[in-house]
Amino acid sequence: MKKLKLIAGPLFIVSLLFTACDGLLDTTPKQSIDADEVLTNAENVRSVLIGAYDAIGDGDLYGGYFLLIPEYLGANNEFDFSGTYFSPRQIRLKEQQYDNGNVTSTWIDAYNAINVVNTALDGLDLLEGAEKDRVEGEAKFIRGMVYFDLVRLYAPQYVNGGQNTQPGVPLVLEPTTTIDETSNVPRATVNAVYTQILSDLNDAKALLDDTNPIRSYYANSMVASAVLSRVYLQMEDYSNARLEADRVISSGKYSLTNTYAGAFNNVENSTEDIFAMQVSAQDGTNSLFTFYSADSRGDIDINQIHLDEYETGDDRLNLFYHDPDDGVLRSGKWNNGIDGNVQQIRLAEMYLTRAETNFRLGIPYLGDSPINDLNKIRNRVNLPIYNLPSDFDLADILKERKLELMFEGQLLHDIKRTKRSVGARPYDDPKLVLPIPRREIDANPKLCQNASYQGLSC
Amino acid sequence: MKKLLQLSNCSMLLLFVTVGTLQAQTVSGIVVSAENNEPLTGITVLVKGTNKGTATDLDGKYELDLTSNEFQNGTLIFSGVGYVQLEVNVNSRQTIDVALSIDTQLLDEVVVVGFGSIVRKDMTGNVSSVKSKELSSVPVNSFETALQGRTSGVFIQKSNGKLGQGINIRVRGTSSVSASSQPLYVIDGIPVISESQSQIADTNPLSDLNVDDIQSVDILKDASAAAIYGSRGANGVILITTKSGQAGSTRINVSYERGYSSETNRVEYLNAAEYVELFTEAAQRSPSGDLSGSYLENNWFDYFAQGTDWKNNEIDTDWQDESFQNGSNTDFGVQISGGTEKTRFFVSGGYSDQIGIMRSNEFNRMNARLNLDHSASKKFDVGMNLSVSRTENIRVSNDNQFATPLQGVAQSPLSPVYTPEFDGNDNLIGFSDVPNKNTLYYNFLRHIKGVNNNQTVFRNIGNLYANYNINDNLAFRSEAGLDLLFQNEDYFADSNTNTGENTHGYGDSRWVNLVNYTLNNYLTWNQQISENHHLTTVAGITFENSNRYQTYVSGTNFPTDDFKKLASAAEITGGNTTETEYKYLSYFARANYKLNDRYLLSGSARIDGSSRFGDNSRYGFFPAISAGWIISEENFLSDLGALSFLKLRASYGLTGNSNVGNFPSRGLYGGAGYAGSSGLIPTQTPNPDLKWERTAQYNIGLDFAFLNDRVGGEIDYYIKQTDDLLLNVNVPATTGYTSQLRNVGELENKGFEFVINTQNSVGVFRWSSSFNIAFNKNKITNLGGQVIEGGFLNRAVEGEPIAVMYGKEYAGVDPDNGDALYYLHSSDGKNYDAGTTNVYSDANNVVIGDPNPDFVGGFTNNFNYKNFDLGVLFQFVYGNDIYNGGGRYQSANGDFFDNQTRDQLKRWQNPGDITDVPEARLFGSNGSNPSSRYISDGSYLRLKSVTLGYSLPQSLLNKLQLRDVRLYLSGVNLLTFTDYKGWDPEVNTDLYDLSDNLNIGNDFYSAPQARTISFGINIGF
Repeated sequence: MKKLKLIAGPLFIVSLLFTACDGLLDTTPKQSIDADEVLTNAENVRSVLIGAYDAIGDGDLYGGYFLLIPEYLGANNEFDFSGTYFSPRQIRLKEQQYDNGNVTSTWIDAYNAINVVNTALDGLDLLEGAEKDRVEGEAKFIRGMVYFDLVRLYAPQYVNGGQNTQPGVPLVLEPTTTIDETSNVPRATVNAVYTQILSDLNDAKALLDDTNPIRSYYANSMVASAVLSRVYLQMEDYSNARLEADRVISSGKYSLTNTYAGAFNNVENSTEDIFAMQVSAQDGTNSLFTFYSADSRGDIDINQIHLDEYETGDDRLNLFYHDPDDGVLRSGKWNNGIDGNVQQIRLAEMYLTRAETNFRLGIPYLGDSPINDLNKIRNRVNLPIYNLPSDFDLADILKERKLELMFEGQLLHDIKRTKRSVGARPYDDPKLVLPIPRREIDANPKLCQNASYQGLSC
Repeated sequence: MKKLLQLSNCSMLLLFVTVGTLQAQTVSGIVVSAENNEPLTGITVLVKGTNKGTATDLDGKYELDLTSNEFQNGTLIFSGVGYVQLEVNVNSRQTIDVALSIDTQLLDEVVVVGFGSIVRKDMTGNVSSVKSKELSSVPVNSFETALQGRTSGVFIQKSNGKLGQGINIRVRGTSSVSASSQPLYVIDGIPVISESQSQIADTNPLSDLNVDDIQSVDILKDASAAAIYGSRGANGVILITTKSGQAGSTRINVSYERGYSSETNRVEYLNAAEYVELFTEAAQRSPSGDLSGSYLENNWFDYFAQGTDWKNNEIDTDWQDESFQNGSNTDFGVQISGGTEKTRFFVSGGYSDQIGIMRSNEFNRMNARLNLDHSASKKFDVGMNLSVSRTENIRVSNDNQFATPLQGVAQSPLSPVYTPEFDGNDNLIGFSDVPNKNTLYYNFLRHIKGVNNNQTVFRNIGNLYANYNINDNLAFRSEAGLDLLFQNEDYFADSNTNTGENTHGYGDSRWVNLVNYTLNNYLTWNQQISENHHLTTVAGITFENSNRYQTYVSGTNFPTDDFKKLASAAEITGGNTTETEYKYLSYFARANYKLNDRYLLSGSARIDGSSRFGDNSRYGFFPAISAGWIISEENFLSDLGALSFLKLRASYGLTGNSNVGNFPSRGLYGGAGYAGSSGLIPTQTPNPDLKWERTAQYNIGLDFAFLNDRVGGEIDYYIKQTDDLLLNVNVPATTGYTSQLRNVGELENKGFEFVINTQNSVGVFRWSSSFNIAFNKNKITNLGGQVIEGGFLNRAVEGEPIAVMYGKEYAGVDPDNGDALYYLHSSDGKNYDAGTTNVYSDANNVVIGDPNPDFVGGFTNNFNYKNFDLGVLFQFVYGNDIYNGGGRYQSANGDFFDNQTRDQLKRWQNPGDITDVPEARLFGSNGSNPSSRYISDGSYLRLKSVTLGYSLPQSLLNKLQLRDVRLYLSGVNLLTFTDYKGWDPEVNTDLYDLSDNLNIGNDFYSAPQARTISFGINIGF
């Protein structure tokens, strides 16, 4: 009996120590919140929209590669890529494989941004009135713009007047909550993708005010119009492109900077910037700086042959400089890697679009005549102005556009829509379209591959 | 009568005693260890054929009374755990001093297992053990390196030759794809932090330990041993026991060591003349037309030469001379131990200072330890082990940065290292001390001069225990452990570096504070039920909590380069704090049953709860069962003269792996900022069913010993099958995510381990050998159709071993035109009939390499003659492939201006040339794309260590009043036999996370291992 007591005492203590406490295992993440808590209040929905801007500012999207790839693919001999990074080098040489790192990460980050936007759109019911319109408008603007860049890079060119049943990119319009078989989305047709882009951007144009009430650099109705003018131009829908470009110009909200150089490397948006990704020392990415600037890798070596394209006295030539390290020519458009914003659409482009579309569509001109619009651009860079409409033709307009917008991510797209060629490659050369990334084809059996690349062809 | 009888009995007794006293002879002596002449306490001294005996005291002394017969004709038997039993004829000597040699078969050695220990003879599982003596005999800065080659079935690889870098350990193969396969580390019963906390390349938190403090390392390999650690046992468990004090006189040991090190190997690169020759030819043959002449000379050679005369090879830089430096190490240690029967202590202090073989790499460590045990009463013991340490690692940049020294080999040999200076006639007169800024790639010396990259770790591991013996059979033990790790990474790059040049300097500081605490409470019941039945059981509960807090600040714009702290940064560019935690709550039990000293049965079970897993599967059950049969105890075998021990073992059990992030089962949103406004973005989709991966392991083994234990060993065969793999399953990126952690797939490791220990010679000249070899075959049996990519060419592919290299197979050079050729193969696998192609993208990808070794092992020989001792360890790895990720730049037949390895001179030049180096074509990508061209055999045999020691003779010691003095000379990595073409076959680039199972067998300008020669002295007082 005594022995029993001797054992029972400690055993009792031990059994207390052994008592299970399930609550002991509860932990909560400190840097994250659970997904089902997100779409429960208006503030979170607003935050998700800001998250979407952060997502598209990524170095693989509007902070870099959405603007770099069209230059790499569109360049013939204007510049060489002398760096050791294989992925951009492959793209510059039009030898990109389907496992190219940049081809892959741009795709991944674009759809990541789309999922963020779709999440914000899913939470619209938590908002009311003008704020609901604003969030919906900005979200649709972002979605429309991202799909536009995706379809331009990863699918064959839109054919004006055609059925456009060629495969575009997968269209995902709902946020992902679970991942299952239905997540294997096939490629929508180019037509369906453009239809969605137009729908999103036109919604944005209608829903947004001319000035964003929260931040001047968030999207507004004019930004939507500016991107719409690009979309219509790409579709060779010149009258709509003209309408949208004219709407932006005639709003009077934007004005050309005094000098050409003044349009670049700005910490705050310039008067000419319709839309720019914001970069500060704390936040944002400027990957164009990485490759263009002598202060960084300086991998993009400009060739004299490109400088020869400019007329003598063109002030735009003054933006080029010799790399102090190796004497190679560099473009000075992307020289502020610390807090220089990444401009996406400038007013100059709207003038050039209006000039081109007015020229193509003929009299009556909308807004102003092509000669006046072109002279605005030429005058700023100290070039002689055109005196007569017969002084220039369409080729001159397109050349002006090329030189004005060079290194800003429009080269390839302009070549394609005007059916010109890149060196010996015609505009519809399969290597001027990116491959669907290998990881995506491996993960989604419903995807088919673009012509000339590894993987099951469409 | 009765009284008389009593009396007579008394007198008989008296008489007997008197006779005994009269005839008795006393024999006395001292028993020491033959290894080191240390007195041995507790050695049993028995008169053969009687029960008469005694034991040695604290000073190794004994005294025994013998009858005259015994004194003349008797034999004494000296025996003790861990020593070879010795029989000595008394031969009428009054003093008999003996030296006992260590029993290398270790059948009686005590093996530490989780929550207890067991005598090796009675073990039914598989545990590899290494004792302090073996650990301390090799000069290394981390104990794992000392285990290399000494433990069968444990593959240990240092990732490179940078100091304090991460280490890969695989116990019986890799048993996971996406979760870490590193083992669990337990120090004195408390699981400790072993994962790298560095924000750049992995470092090794176990390098905070002082090897001199370690008593033993026991590695639990099979499931019956490891299942007591449940959901964390699948990768094996490494139990480290630190030294404790012994009652007796106070012992002081002082040790000093000084070593010198250099790289194990260099690779040959082109000199200036060869560089000009190869690149001139490459330019002539460029697909862009003949680029030799002014383009090549003005744009490139002149630029590299920076005004020096490259045509006459005025500059001929061997960049390896700049990358490497002479390494050294100085180690100093003091250990004091002793105490009384009631209170024992072990105190140690150490200082280690190492200079690495890579330029600017240094590492130093200060540490102290107090281990205290106190017996409050016969029933109650308490104690604590406490260690504090500070390590400082002055680091070099990660691989794949031109700032890391060894990547300097990519620079042209025409480039001066420092800025050249000229006289008025443009003649070179010397160099400034400013590193040349105009090199092909960023000159790493700019980084060496302008960067501070220091990692400082403050580590405090402590545990308290109380043990209460409730009665003779039942004991309760409570342990509380704390592991504190505070780590600072302080980084500053001045305005002359590429990191700081655009921002007037750049600095950041990152602190990680990790607090782990563990509570163990368990009961042990140990009973001899009857003469033939013995039962030991243990049951308990353990709770573990780990909390990690991190702060980070970065800034730019420093007034001058002399200001290196963020207080002087004009702009703070970033800052954050993060916190995360995990918890385990577990219940465990184990029983060991022994019948007739020959039939062994053991069972264990653990229920593990983890905060890491989904609500639907928070607890898991991990049972194990094992049995052993000591055949040599059977009567029918007792007469087999040569055979001294034979045991058959078998085990089966389940273990788990939960080495994944802390919240993998939840759907999560994280913060994101844009232009100063805060936002939210989805980061993870939920998987509430997520649970640990499960490994079922079967083990069958045989332990044997022959010839009085002079030959002994172990043979084991195992099958480890892992299912419910924690797999980062690729999902379509169109979902907004790239992967999701799911329980998908199965893999298998099968292997065979063989250990043999022999005592080849005993007596004055002693020679013992130990050989171990372990074969392991890994195969991914099911991945649910997933293909998961890893570093470079590594992939997880169904039906193949983990991390096979997958890509184009190089087919050599077309003798007609110098084109690189690739085997076409077919989309479903290898098919050499399909022929070759010179179009890289036309070739199908196939498995072209396997980074997993077929077998690994080691061979140790120890020799002792009089006062000399010699230890020689060979270590080998066989059958693994290494992919050189830098090959496409450095061995690319002049594709770009990177300096080329010298073997590229064998390039194809004329039709008919037979070579495996394609035609040199500048910018031509002729054979430079990733392929099997850059894979080579990574097998090696290495003379891992040689140590020659001399102990001062006792006579001299007595004069000097010292207990012992040993001088030694030691060499590490002295010789390496390998076909590997790179620097060193023991390599895995630190470019990727080391815990990533899909990054193995890759080299990328990785620092080679160090070859070290050192001398040292140990003095005992």
